[in-house]
Amino acid sequence: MMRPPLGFVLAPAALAAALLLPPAPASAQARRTSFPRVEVGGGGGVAGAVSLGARDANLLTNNAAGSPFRLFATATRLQPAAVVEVRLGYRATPRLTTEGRLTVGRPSLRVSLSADAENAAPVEAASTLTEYVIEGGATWRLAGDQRRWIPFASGGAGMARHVYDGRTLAETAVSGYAGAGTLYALGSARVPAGARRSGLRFDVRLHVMHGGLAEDAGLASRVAATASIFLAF
Amino acid sequence: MIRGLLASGLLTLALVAAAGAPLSAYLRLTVSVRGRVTPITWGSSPVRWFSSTASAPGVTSAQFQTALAAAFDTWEAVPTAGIAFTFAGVTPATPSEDNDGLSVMGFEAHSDLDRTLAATGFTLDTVTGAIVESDVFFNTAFPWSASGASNGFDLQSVATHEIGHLIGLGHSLLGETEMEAGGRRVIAAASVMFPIAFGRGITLGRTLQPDDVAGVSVSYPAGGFADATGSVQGRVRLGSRGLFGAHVVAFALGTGALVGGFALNDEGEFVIAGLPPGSYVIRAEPLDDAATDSFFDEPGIDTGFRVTFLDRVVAVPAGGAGPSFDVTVTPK
Repeated sequence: MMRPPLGFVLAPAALAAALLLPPAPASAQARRTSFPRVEVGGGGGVAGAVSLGARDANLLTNNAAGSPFRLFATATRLQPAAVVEVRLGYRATPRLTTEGRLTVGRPSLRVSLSADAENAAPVEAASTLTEYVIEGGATWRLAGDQRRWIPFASGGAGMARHVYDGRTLAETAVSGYAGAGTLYALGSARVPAGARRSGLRFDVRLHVMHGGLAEDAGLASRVAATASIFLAF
Repeated sequence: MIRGLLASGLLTLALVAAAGAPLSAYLRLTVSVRGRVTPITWGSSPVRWFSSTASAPGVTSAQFQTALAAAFDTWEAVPTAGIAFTFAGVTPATPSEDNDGLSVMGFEAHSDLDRTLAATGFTLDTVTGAIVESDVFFNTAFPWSASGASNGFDLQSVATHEIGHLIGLGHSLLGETEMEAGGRRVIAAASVMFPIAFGRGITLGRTLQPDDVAGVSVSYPAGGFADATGSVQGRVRLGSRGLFGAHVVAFALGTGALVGGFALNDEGEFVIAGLPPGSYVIRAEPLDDAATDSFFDEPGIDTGFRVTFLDRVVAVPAGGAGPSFDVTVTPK
């Protein structure tokens, strides 16, 4: 059973807040001739469950049609997991930022084994993996820096690597994402020395995976929601 | 210590028509060489095979040779295995003539073997464990077909099974059977090396399954095979006791391939090698679909336990094995 991912709750709330809040007071706006180019960030969140497909263990039946005989059935998924992420971005224009992100989590890989032809008791086989998601993408700001809340849309692609404990096996999938979120600019008094800007960032993304653990699922999808701190230089 | 598997000096393995032995996943035939259990293999390749002059109702000698050649080609075509075969010609010798230096395939009448479609015999070098001769007879007490017609057993399918024995593979237990009058009937199988044949007119046995491919590849590995594949290893336990003869199946979540093996000692230890890297689930079952003597030449096979899944997902790395694990089963 899939739980409602936290992201589904956070995303509308964050976006609504971004749209309804008034712009930051004029006195707080920084009149600059150029904008900070480099952004770094880090934070954490939750990656939702993902179904990796169902497959039957089939034998060949003793008939001319060759229809399969199911020895048992499997259904595979990754459980939701807490994740941490680090991010490095380059702001190419006032609206467009290209960025790379590394997300690390420890999801549980679970396989439901059922419908055994010889009445084996159903079992949920599990192993904990370390998941590394490395993606490159872009964000498009939907408002200018004069606002304190700045909504954005994002998208990108990369790969998801799942490593078994003991590093005995790593399975690699192609991944892609689309999402949205909002930036919240902190007041200038809270900007660390050396940085030109800082704030909070809230992301909600829909990720898709293909291959690797998701080989049997075609395109496997899940939602991730993260909150992070960013610094702009 | 690994116990012996149906092999010693001269042995014969048979494919049964309806009643008889159950199987497990791929199993390599072994012989004791200077006290050490050694898988039997051909020492040189290509293996030369002869066809006898005998024919059977509905199958000419030429059709027999064509079907046998296709079956040999099936094994030779496995890309991860390095064994080849050569048709050496037609001979007046018969499969029952042992120690003549010829590996002869042919029809023979064995009306007394009313449940044996075909059988493979070996002459082994007991010093090295090498196969020096292997003969296969196809029993004319049964109807045969070279075309897959519904009035006979498919010659090519049965030949593919027997050639599996000829290269040193034992029976596989990847199949399900049911009792019927006179013996067991196969319901389904996932290995050419399952010991009970499909019914008349069914040609599914012409195609090797992942279990068969793993077996021949482990016995005759092509270059790079060992580095490209891995294994699972563990024990089957009932309480504190290991279960000799327990059948263990590895199921690849990514491909759906089934490959099996047996616990081969009193500790219940097993190894299933030749697996493509990936994530696997493990299922242990008793050898209760057929006669245990189709697999093992020793008594003491424990079948009094329930079919059980391992409660974890097992990773198979390339070129090695993951950590060993125990499959803990419960009594029936």
